[in-house]
Amino acid sequence: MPSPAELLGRLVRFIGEVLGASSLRFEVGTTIVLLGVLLVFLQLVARPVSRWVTADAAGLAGVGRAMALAAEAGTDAVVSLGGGGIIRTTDALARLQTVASLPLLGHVARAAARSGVPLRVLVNDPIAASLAAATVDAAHVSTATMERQGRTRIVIVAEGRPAIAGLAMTTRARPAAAFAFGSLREEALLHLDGLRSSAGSLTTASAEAAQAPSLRLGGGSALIGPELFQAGADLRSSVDERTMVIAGNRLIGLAVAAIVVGSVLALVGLVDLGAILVGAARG
Amino acid sequence: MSERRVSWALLGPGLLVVVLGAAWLLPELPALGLEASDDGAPAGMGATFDELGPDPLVLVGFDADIGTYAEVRPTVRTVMADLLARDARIAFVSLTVEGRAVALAEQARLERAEANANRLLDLGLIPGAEAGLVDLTKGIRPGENPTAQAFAREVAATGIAAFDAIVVVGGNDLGPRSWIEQVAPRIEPVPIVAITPSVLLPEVLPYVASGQLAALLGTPRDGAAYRATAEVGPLERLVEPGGPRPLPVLIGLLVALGVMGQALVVRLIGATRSLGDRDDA
Amino acid sequence: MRRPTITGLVVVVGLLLLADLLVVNSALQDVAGVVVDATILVAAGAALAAGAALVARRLGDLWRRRGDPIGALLVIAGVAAMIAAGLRPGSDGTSDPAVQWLLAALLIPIASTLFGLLFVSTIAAARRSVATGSREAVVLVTATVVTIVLLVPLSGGIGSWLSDAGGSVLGSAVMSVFRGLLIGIALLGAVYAARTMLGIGTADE
Repeated sequence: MPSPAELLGRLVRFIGEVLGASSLRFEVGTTIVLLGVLLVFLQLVARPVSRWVTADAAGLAGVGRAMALAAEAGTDAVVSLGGGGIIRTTDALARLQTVASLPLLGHVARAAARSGVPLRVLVNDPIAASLAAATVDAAHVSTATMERQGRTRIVIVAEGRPAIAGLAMTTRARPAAAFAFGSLREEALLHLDGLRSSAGSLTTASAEAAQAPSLRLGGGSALIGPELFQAGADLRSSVDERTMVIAGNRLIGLAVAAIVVGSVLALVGLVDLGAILVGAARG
Repeated sequence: MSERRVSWALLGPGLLVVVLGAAWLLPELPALGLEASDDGAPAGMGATFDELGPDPLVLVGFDADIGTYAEVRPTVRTVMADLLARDARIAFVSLTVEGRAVALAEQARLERAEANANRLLDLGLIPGAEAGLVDLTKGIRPGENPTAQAFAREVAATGIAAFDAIVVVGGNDLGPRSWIEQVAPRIEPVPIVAITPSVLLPEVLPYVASGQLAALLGTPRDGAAYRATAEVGPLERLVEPGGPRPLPVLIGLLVALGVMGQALVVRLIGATRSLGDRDDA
Repeated sequence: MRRPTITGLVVVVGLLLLADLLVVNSALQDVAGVVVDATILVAAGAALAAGAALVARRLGDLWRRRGDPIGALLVIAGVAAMIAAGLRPGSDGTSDPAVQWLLAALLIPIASTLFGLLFVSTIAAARRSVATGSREAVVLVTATVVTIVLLVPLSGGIGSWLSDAGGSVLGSAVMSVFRGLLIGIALLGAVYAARTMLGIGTADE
């Protein structure tokens, strides 16, 4: 029977062998940048001390009033979760935007539940549909309005971004308020135009950089770029939401510093920081 | 909205289509041309292909979007003809269903135009989005390719390392950015070039500046300039005869200028009047 | 409330794939490869299930006479036509001429037409935005007008000048704004993904 010291020795040797058989895929600089995101975030999770000032860029905090007006008018509200979906063939950023839209859907759903306004949620993916349904159900539970749960509909439009845009353009419904959260790409303006022309108000949020002008032109309030990921922190007081935004802001500060310092170093011809950070892979 | 505005709103788009159709039928005007004077982008694409060496293997990630493919189609066909004229062997792979549909149509077109079937390999559709891209770097399973068996065997044996360059036809959800993020870090450095519609420019242009994309044809002007300079030799039949006509493009631009300019002028006049009223008050 | 097993699975898979990205190790690569293969199978299965669920839902709508019956009929007819074209005995699958015809004659023109509408929608939206008086819209549309002038396709010396100016505007002014946006999106997206991957917090209440 080996002694504890021998077991420890074997463990150390095993770890040494594993490390010895490994190498970094990227250059050191790139690896540190990738790990830096996690490290900054984890450090903040451990000690999230910082002042928080609510921004509410798209006026989502006032959605309760819009719902009250909708209840008076006897109409519904529509929330589109964009064209990204969860399981459909799209890139990770689009899927992440759909996940990031769920807290916003939850916020709208709670306001709708309190006011008794039926909600119609448009998705193009069955998994996104089940997540949306769970979010809306949770809203009804948290507002103790389970009796109103059956009035909300989750509409699975079809596969593909043009389908959801086409539905928004051709719908005859007249909701009191329309919301579009998530990944909106080339079809963005068609999608938003369709929602805006039939709804009383429009609020949009998308982290697609190329479509930032479309969100501005689409009318109503808009959260563009990183604001989609930050919005949840303004709507809820949960520590982890705000920690995430604080971590993001610190990383943006670091990135700006790196750009300024790197530009100066490159201009004086000392070192090309960009090449170091982009790096090259080894197998 | 007044009746006149309603009439314009309904008739305007239809009238525009008629005018554009008529402009399409008119002969070319020598004063108009889509080719840009700054030939950096097309020259970059040509230089990348020049550096490939003899008999290169090129992997084409074909994920065009059906809606925006019309913008890049002439350029894509010219790139394919250019590569075949350089004795390249081309393997097509898609990660999206729409991209796969368009890729099949293009391969069928190459077949009808009697392109050398030994130099064309169909790697099919790989599901799983980014997971599929990562899987591509671990190994390639060519499937049945009766006309390019030697090519298929070579690719199956060596995997993605067999390829000397990657051409990404973008537009759909998975495009050059996904290839740079998921494939480039996992393989030995090979040039990645892209052909994308202009809607993707904000996302892909930074990759050109950082060197992660060796070349990009991302605007109709770049595409026109590349098509004007590409030497495809006897494979002219593979190229689309004539690209977008400059006159309809000009009319479209003028309509856009007119509508937006009129709105800005009205706004300016309104702002000036209200300033004047305030001064009077 | 997220179940702990799902959270645990996300954490394990996420950290495994992140480690495989950063470190080159054959054993790690093999394990990550299994996870990637499983992901591809799940994605393929989910895509099939999504199609089947769509058809089932539309059939249910028709049976119960709810929703849009014409839309439901069109969806079912379209799916049936494509499946019949691609899977009938003797068909070449996706390369079959019938499938290619359906794509070329129906799907591609419809999708292209939809995106052709973007031209009209965009300039109408621009006009509307300026009319509503938003300062941001006025700046955006003014910059658009200037950029459009630079895009006018003229030949000769004037065309060269316009093209060079357009390239400078695009490469410097416009891209500097977009770079900032892209950096912000990338960093916030990375942190959000890290949060999700580490199972911190919930997606909804």
